[in-house]
Amino acid sequence: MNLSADGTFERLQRILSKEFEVATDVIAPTARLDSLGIDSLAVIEVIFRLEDEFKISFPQDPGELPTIGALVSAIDQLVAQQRVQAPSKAEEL
Amino acid sequence: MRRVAVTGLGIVSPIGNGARTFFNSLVQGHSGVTRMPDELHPRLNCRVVAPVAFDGAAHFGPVRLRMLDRVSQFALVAAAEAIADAGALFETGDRETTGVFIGTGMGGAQTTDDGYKSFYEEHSDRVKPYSVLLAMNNAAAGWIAIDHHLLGPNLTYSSACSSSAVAIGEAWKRIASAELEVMIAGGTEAPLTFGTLKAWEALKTMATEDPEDASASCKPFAKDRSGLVLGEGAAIVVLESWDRAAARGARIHAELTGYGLSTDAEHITRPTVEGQARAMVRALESAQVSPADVGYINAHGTATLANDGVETAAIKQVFGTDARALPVSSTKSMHGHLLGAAGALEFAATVLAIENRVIPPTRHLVHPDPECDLDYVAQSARPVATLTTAMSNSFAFGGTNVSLLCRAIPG
Repeated sequence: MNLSADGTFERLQRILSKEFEVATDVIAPTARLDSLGIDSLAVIEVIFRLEDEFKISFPQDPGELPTIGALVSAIDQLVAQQRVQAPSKAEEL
Repeated sequence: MRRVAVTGLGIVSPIGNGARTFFNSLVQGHSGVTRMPDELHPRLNCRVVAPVAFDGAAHFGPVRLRMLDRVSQFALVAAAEAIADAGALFETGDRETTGVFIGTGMGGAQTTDDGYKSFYEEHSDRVKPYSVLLAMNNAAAGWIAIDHHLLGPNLTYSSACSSSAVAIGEAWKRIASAELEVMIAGGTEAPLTFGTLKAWEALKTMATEDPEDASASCKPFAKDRSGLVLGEGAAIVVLESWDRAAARGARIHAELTGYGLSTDAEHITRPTVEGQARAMVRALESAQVSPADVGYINAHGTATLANDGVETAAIKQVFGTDARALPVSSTKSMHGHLLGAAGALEFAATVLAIENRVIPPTRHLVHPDPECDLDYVAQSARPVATLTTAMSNSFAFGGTNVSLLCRAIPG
C-alpha cells in the first residue's frame, strides 16, 4: 500500500466530514464527488481548502476530478511536483 | 388597477427580530443604538451603531453559511418569516407568477471588506473562492428565490437609502397591473464593517455620541441632532393581489394603495423640498386620496441637519394647513438608518402602526428645532383609534425619493 496516498485520503476524509457535511462512511475512493453533495461549485471551495492543507497550488483548470480517488491522485501528484520544483527554484537563485 | 394586500411581514432589526418583537420595541420606545466595544475597530471615531443580535449558525449549516454574506442571511431569515406569516401562500400554486424584488445599497459589504483586508493588509492573494457570490448585490434576492422556488422576475434595486422602498413600490406596480400575483419585496443591509463605517465617518453625516446615553444619539427633528446612526437588518413583505388574498382567506395586515417616485436632479447628497414633495404628491395621486385623509407619516427623518428641515418643509408644502395636525415620526431614532433596508423596515413599521392603530414615537426629541415645527409624536407612542391611512417616506443620496401609502383594513 502506498503510505502517502493513504495519508492523503484520511486527511481529505477528515476535511470533507468536518467542514463539508459529508458523512465519513460514504467517503470512499470510488465515490463520486457529486454523489457526496459536492457539485462543480463546491469543488472550487474544496480545492481552495486543500491548497491550504497540502501547501499546493492547483492549476487554473484542475481538470476532471469525478471521484475521491481522482482527487487523492491529483493531490499526491501536485505535492510531488511542487516539492521537486521548490529546490530547483532555489538553485536558480 | 388591482388592489394589493400586504399579507406577510418578516423583520430582522436592531430592536428585535420578528415583526411582533420589532413593533413592541417601537411602541415601547426601545433604542437599538449602542456604543461599539472599545476593542472593536479602535480606529473608528464614530462609535455608535445599531447592530442586530443575530447568529447565522443558528439558522444555517456551516456549508451554507460560507455561501452567505451577513446581508443574505438577514434577508433569508426575514423572507422565511414573511412567507410563513402569509400562511399557506403557495397552496394554490402561483410560483411562476411570484417575483422577488429586493433593495440593498451595499450588498455583501463584509465580504468585500474581508477581501480587501487579505489583499492590502495581509498581502495575501488567497481570496475566498465564493467572494463574488457573497458580495454581489443580487445574492439575497437570488437565494430567496432558490429557497422558496419562486420563478417570477427576480430583481435587485439600488438607490441608496430608498432602495427597498423602490423595491416595494415596483412590486406593487407588478401586482396592480395584473402582471404578477404575489411579490416577495423588501430590503436588506449589513453595512457595519470597518471600511463602510470609516467611509461614512469621512462624509461627516454620522451622529456624535450622546455623552450621557449612547442609545439616545440619534435625535431626529431635534435642535441638538447631529447626524445619522448606521444600522443593519432586513425587512421583507409579502404582497398579493387583493382578490387572491381574500379568496384564500388570508389575514391581511393592510392594503398598499399608492407609490410615488421622484428625482431631485440637483445635488448628489443635498435633498430638495420640491423633490420630496413631488414623491408624496405622486403617492397621494396614485392612491387617489387627498392629503386630509392621511393620518400618519413615517418620516425619512435621518436626524441629519440637511434632511429633517427639508422634509418638514416638504410635508408642509404637500399637506398645507393640515400639516400641523398630522402626526409625523421618525423610527430611525430607535433602529438607526438601515440604508438600503430602511425603506422596507419603515414601511413595515407603518403597516404595523395602522394595523394596531398605534403611532410609534420619535425618540430622543427633547429639544425642539424651530425649523422643525410639526407634531413629531415626541418620546411616547400614541394610540389613534381612527387611524386608517399612513405614508412612509424614503429619500436618498443620488436623489431618488419614494413615498408609499397604505390603508388599514376596516374593523
